[in-house]
Amino acid sequence: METWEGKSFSITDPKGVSTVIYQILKTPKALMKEYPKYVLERLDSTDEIRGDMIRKTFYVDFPSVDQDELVILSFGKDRVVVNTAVLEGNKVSISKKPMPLKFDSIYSEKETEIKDFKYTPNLKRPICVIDPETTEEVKPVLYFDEKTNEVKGKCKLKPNKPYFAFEIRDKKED
Amino acid sequence: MNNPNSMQNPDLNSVLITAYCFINKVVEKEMGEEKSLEDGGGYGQTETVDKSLPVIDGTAKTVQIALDDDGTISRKDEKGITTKSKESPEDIEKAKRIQDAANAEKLQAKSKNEEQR
Repeated sequence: METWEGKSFSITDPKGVSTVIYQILKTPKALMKEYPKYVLERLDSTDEIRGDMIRKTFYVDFPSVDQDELVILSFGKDRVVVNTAVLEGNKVSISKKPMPLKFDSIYSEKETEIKDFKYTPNLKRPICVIDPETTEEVKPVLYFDEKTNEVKGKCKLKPNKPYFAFEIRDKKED
Repeated sequence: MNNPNSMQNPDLNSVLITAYCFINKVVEKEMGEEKSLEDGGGYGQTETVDKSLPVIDGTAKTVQIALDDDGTISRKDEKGITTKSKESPEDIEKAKRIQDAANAEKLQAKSKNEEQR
């Protein structure tokens, strides 16, 4: 059985806030043909209820030998706060200026219809889509189209509902 | 004649652009009152009083990890408590492969630098 050392750290979410954290994996040159330059690894976590708050422990199962860059997303009722952090050794350093993003909900009296949005996955540009209400990722379901002989993706997104989408890319690229 | 493939990407692109734009439309930079550690703050070096932020413990601990026969991961912390990863064996394998290769590349570069000195 293979064993190694990972890391863990904890945060406490206030009432009404749910935080998820991603580790940014930078693909080495040897694997650049198979994977995009940056791969997002969602950190697994365990919860502990403490009164109105939830203490979450996040696990970095595959730590880097030097430092790890983390993206911290805190979802509230109508907003998401985006922050970044660096895990180096046994210290987690958070940026001093988190970025809050606020979204309004759209109310519609019409019945909403679930639509399938189809797309052909671009493996070189992974975009992470999160449902802010559940904080779960909306992942595409891949299927093989025999008519066109291609691997395609189906992503179920509900209309009139906000989603949070993000990607990691170098500053130089626009 | 329309190429059905060319219609695939715009569907998701337009949805994602909508999601980006929808959120970006009402971006507000709210600068909360900042407190230093001396004043009782605990969010890294400073704390915003904004209640929508989590409080982060800046100390990371070591966890012993084992790759189980079924491809999943078990962890044991310093208190001896064991947790099981919720990730699928496929996702675990992918992350491990990338990070093992990345770490090997970094160590090799570091070793090369030291030899050249």
